[in-house]
Amino acid sequence: MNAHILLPEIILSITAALVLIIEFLTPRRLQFTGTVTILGILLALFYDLSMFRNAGVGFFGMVKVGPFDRTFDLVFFIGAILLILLSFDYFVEISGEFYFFILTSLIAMMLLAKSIDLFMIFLSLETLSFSLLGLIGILKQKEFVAEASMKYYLLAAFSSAFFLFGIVLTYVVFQTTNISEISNKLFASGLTGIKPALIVTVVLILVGLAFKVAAIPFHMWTPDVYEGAPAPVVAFISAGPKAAGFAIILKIMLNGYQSHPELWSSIFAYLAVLTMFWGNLAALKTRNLKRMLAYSTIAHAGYVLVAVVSANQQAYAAIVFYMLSYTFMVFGAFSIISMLGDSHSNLEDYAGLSRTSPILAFMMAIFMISLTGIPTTSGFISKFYVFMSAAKTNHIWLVVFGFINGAISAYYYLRVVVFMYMMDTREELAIPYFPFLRSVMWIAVIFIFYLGLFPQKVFEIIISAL
Amino acid sequence: MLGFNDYLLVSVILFFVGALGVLFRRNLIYILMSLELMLNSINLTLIGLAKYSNDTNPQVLILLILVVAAVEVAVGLGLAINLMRVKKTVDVDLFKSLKG
Repeated sequence: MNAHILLPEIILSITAALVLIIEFLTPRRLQFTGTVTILGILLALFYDLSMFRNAGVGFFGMVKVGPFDRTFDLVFFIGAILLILLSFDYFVEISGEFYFFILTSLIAMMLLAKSIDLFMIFLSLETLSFSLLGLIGILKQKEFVAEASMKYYLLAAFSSAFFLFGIVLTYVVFQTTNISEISNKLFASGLTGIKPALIVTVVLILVGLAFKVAAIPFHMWTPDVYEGAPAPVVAFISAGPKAAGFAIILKIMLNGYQSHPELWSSIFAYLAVLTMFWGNLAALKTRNLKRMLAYSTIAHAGYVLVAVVSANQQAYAAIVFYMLSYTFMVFGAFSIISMLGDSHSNLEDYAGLSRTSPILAFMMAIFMISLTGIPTTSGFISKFYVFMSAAKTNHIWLVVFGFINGAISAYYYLRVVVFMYMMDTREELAIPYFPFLRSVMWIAVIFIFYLGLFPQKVFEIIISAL
Repeated sequence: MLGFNDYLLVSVILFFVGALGVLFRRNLIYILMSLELMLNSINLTLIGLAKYSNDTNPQVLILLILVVAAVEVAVGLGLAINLMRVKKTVDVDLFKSLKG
């Protein structure tokens, strides 16, 4: 059965059980439970990295582990650790189930990146949705939170039903749910006679995945959930699960339907353009920073979809690099939003921040500049790699649309900077000193510049893992 | 004589009835029921497949989907009860505090 290839996941499961027991014995000791969680995650990370080069198939051919999946794991681990650090300062008193849900969503994301069986993917997807639901709804007495979690639940269940239907129809066509067997059968038989059925299955599966990566037409939940959910959780949702969604898209479309790109390539191209434009145009008129970042995350999903369309080795690496750098950008921005508080996330609350707390304003400016994609920051490099891979495979029109969108997005990102540096405060916001939020902010800034100035080394590691 | 395609046709129809219910019903409980209908229509496809092929896998998958559906409804009802406590209604049109 080869159980050792999932050792990191097993360690995390044990930690999750342990966290529940600790919570039962010593309720509401936030930092203690959190520290246990972090230790478990670090142990799992250690084993993950020590087995980095080991590849293998296990669990009755349902899980396939290789270096490439482990690079995705890195993104998930970083997201989980940063979320726990943010939670120490952000939440005054919550139950330890919060950490349990972090761990289960981490396990689900790692399994998503590794599973090669469609049913395994479906189960991990459901686990991920429900764990995230627990994180979103952790402050369930608040009206906003109750509503946001209900909206997330409805769309998650709706889109996963489509995904499931797609899987079952795939089973009807191929008599198997294993992705590599599907690939072999498709390669052997060709498309004769099954092309319409296959297009239906691809579209149905795509609906389920579009929800996870917040692409059009299943993006409606993003603005509401982002506005209603606690800021640290929002940062987590827009980093890890999105990377997991792209890992699955790569797996199903590029491995499973590899021999026939005409089935999905053009669908993704249109999806990428629509998602980019819709996200950026909708962000122009919002005046709430959390809502604006929700639209911006939709736009960023569009940029990554451009890389999915080009589907070569460099595109694979570009996607991982993009998600890595996006994790740091979004956690940095949300660490500052957490400092000001969820109820002060309107643009007006940020007016004159450069005078009241210059360091925070400067950092926020860096995050916004990086999200825009201006050189020396990681945002530029990651966009550069994505568009490079698209240009190499002659998708020039996608690159052109990408640059137009970059220009549009500059307006609303830099408007935040304008508000912070050129407007006067209406009311003085006293921001207490939060050690953990600040450390996350510094970590994010350091990595944004490291990835922005010396991307070569990280990129080579990712390429060599392919 | 019924064939597999008839099963498939019925389950596709049921699936889209469920989908339309989720989109257009305004009561949360009805929406949850429509979600259940969508999942069970998928089961119907698998039942047809199990009947017309000598394959036991679909039967296993049905059990798996039933478990997932049960979990889904349990979570959904929990959320609905929480919303009832906070807002005193299950009409989705009244959930307007986040302008979606």
